[in-house]
Amino acid sequence: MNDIPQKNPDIIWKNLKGEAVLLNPLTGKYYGLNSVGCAFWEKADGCRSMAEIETLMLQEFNVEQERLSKDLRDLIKTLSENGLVTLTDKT
Amino acid sequence: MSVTNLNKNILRLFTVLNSPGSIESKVQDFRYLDWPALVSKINEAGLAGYFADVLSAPEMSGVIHKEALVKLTNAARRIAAHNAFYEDQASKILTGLSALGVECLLLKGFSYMAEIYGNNSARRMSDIDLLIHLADRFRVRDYLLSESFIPYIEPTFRGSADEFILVADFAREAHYTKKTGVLALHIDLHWKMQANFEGHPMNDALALDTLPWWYSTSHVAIGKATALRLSPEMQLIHMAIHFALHHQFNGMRWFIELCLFIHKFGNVIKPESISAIVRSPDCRKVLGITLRMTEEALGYSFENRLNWRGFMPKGALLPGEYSFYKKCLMRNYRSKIATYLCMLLAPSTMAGRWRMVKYFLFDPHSVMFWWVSGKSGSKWLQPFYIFYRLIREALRRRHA
Repeated sequence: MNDIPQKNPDIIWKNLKGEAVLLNPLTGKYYGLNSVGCAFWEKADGCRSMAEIETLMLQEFNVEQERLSKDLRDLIKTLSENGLVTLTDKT
Repeated sequence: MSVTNLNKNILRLFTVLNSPGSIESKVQDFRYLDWPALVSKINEAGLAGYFADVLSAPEMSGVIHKEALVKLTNAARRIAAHNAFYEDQASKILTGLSALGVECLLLKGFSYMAEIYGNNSARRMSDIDLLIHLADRFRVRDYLLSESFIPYIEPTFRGSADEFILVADFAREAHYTKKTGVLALHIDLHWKMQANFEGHPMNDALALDTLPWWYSTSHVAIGKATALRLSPEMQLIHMAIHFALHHQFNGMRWFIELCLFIHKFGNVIKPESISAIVRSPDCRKVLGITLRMTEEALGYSFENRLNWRGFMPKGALLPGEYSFYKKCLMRNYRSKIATYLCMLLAPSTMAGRWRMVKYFLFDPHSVMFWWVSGKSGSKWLQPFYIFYRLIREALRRRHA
């Protein structure tokens, strides 16, 4: 949870009424993020750790911490697999 | 369902969506439309963002088929991301040009998109049009080349790359493109506003370059940069001329954008300013026709503010001419014959139309391939060549 998510700087994105659409101009692939994914994407500023983002999201969404942690782990896995985000160690 | 009907249905839907009062009862007939075909057509017109937005409103619930709305929403998302790419790149270019001290004016596209549609994602951007001063032309070119742009050659152009650049130069504009991964960014530079290529009779008749393009401009934010944009009056004139002369009244995207611009700015635009700017009868006719078409599409008028009758010179329209323009709007593509017919009909007088006929039949400038290749044909052979091209085009369309 100390890892810091770093967005791929090539990615173009747009917030559409609380959801996000991402475009990788190098591949031409589009990705959609729901409201939770969009909130994560907006908070991932390259400085905040996963734990800090999770704390902020707990304040924003009415959800149990365990459930949110699992959702964020799944989201990070998908984003990483698609080259949209990389995780760097805070230490 | 024919393409004409699809365009008609898009326009009918647009009219209802923008009509005053409750639309709930008016949209019930739309349940029975061929929504998958209509969504494809809307997407083709680059308007998925706008229609996804208005069709997902609560009062439209149950009107558009669920699967069609999902398809439309997904297309709208792609447009939003595509436009975000354009906005990001435009912002960088505007910042770069500003640092060089180059003054440029953003035409169309992002200049009024946020106000017209409520956001910059509603309709697909195809290029960024910039009006620059003639003196800055080579500085801007050098800047774009240093930023990895290359001259853009229209894929359908049948001549060489050098010939295309020459043709564009004759229209007093230049096209550049840059590839970022699989995406291409197109920039169109204009340094003189004119109706058509150099030597075209409509250039003198409309005298577009004498209009106050750089007067009463305002600023618009594009990403982190700001750009100059036209005054609402000049924007209306530009949109009307662009739709009528460059697109020959064809293209639902341009027409709907023009309607929405009038819908939003109709009460702000000063008709007396437009009247003072647009003096040429031919230009007033173009404006009159487009205003009449938008008035019919919107289903209401701005009474004395933007009354098309006030612009239209007496006797400017031939019998059936206005119906022809309306048919042009409904066509799926711009046919060459309709394009030339529009150009011949455009002047407001018979003398003007005869000047156009003479230009096409006898002026070597009207045959693009002759002058770009330096192989000017005989003046007296030209009418036969033109008729040959017309017949060939008609036959090609018959066999298509």
